[in-house]
Amino acid sequence: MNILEVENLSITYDREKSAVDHVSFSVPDHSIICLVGESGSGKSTVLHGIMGLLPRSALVKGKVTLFGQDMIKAKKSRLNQMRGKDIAVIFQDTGRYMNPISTIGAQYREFLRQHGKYSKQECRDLAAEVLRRVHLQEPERVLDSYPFELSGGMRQRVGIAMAITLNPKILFADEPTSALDVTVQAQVIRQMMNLRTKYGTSIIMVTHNMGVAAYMADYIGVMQNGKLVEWGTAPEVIHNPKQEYTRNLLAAIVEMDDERLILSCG
Amino acid sequence: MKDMGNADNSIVPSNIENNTDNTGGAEASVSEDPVILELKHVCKTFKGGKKSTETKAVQDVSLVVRQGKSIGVVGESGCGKSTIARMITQFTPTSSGQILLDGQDITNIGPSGAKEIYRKVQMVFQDPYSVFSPRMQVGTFLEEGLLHFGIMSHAEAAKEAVALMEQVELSPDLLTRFPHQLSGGQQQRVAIARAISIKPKLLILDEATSALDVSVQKQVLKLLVKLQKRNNLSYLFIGHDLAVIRSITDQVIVMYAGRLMEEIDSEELDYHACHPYTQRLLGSVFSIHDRDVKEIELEYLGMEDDRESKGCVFCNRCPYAMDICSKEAPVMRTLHDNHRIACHLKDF
Repeated sequence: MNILEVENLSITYDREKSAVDHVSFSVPDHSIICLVGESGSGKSTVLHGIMGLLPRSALVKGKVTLFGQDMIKAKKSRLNQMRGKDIAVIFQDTGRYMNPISTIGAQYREFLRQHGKYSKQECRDLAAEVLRRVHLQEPERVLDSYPFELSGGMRQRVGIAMAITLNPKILFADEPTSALDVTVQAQVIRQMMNLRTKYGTSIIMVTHNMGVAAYMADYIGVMQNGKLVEWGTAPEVIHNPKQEYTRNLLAAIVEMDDERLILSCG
Repeated sequence: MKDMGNADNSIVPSNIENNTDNTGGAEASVSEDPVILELKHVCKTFKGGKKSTETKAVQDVSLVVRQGKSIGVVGESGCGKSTIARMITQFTPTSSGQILLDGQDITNIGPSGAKEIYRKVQMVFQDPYSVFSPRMQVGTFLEEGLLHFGIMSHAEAAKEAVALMEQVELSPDLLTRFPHQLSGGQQQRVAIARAISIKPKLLILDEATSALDVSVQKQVLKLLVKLQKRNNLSYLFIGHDLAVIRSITDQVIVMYAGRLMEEIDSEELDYHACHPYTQRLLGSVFSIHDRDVKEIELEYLGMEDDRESKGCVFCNRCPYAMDICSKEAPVMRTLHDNHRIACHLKDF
C-alpha cells in the first residue's frame, strides 16, 4: 500500500526553467525515504510542493496523492485539517518558525487547540509527556522557556516533539539535522527512526548528507537540476549506483577511511 | 604518489626556503620545522551581563603550529574552537596565558598592533559572501589587501590579481564580476585568494568548507592542500567534520567545553584515538560505508553546565566516569609521541 504517490510533479517559478521537472515516485506505508542532492537541485521544493507550502507565484503541475487525497486540488481548510495531525513537518531551523515572544508552552497550546478541545492543563500534560519522549529533561522548565533560552538542539527537539504529538501518519523533514552538532544529529536521527519503529510513521526527509541517508533510508532518491535522476533502495543507490551523477556525488564525500587528501594531492 | 608511512616528510616542500629569515620559534629543535604559532595555557572567560556570571569559554589551552603543517581543531558548538581563532586574530582579548606568533608575544596586542599581525595571519570564514563588499568587483577586492599593506603599486597589484585567480583555479575573466554573480564555491576560492595574497605564514580556516556542497567542498579542500604545499603555509583548521579534518591536517586537537581532551596525529585518529569524548564523536559520524547500528546517547542536552565542573568537563556524559572524574580535572599526559590525552582512565 502506498501512502503517497507523486506523478509527473513539475514546479515552475515565473515561467523560467523548471525548479522541479517531471518528478514521480511513490512512498510505501511505514517507510523512510531520503531525497538527496546538492543545493538548488529542487529537493526541498518537491517537499514543499507535496505539502502545499509553495508561494502563490509557483506554478504546480502533476498529481500528488496523499492518503488518497489529491493535495494539489485540496482546499486550504482541508489542508489545515491535515497539517499537524496526519502530516507533520520539521524544518532545518525550527527555532525560526517559533514566536520569539511567547513561551514554548503557549505555542504548544496554540498548536494543540487547532486540532481539538484541550484544557490548559491537558495541553501542558500532553506537551510534557511528548517532550519527555524526545528525551528532553525537565520538560516543565522547557515549557516555561522562550525559544531563545533553548539551545539549537533543544529547539529542534521541541520541533520534533510538536510534529509527533498527534502521531502523524507521515512526517516531512527538510534538512532537520544540518544545523546540529554531530552527536546531537545522531540523537535526532535515532529519534526519528524510533518513530517509525514505535508508531509506524512514514518519513520523507530531504538531506545533503549521504551518510545520514544511507543510515536511515529504505529508499533514496537523487535529484539534480530539478530532475529525479536516480531512485532505488538505499543499498542499491549507495553501493551500486546506476547514474554517473550519483557516482560522482558519492565519490566527492570525504570519509573517515579514505586516503587523506593531504597525502594524495599537491 | 606518496605512501602513508612518510606523512611528515611529504608536507615539506622542496622549493621554498627563501623567505624564512626571521624564524623565531623559541622551542624549535634542529630537526623540526620552525614554530609559527604557539599558545601557552591560554584562557578566556566571558563576563556575563546582569547576573555577573562568568563563562569559561577556553581553559588552559596549549598548542603549537609549525611551518608548513596543518593542525585541526574539532569539537561541537560552544567548545571554544572559534574563540581560540578570535584571540589569535585579536578580535577578542585573551584572559590569561600567552600567544606567540613567529616568536613574538602577541597576547592582547590589540587593534593597534593587529595590522602587523595580519601580515602573517589571515582568516577564511564559513560564509564567503559575508567577507565581500557587495558592490566591489572581485579584482578590486583582491588588490585591496596588497595596496593596504603597501606591498605593490596599482599596476602590479592588478597583475598579481590575475596570478592569484590562477592560483585558486579560477578564470581571470571573473575579476570584473561582483560577488553575487559567483557561486558559493567560487566565492570561497576568491576569499582564499585574498587571504594568501599578502603571503601570510598562517591561515586560520574557521569552518571554511562547511557551507559548500560535497563536490565543491572536496575541490576546495584539494586546492587548500595544494596551496599549502606550494607556499609552505601553516593552517589552523577549525571544524566539526571529523572526516574532513582528518583528511587535510597533520594533527588533530579535540576540544570539549573549553578544554583540550586529546591531541593525536590525524593519521591515527580513527584507530588510535582513545579519549571517551573522541570516541563519542567518532561514533556519531554517519558514513556511507557502514549501516551498523550505532550506540547513541539520547539524554545529552548541551555542554553549558559542564564548564563549571570541578573535575573533568566531560564526566557527566562519560560512560566510564569514576569517582575521581567529578572531583579532579585530569592533567594532559603523553601516551606516545604526538599523542596526548586528558583523562583519568589508566588503560588504553
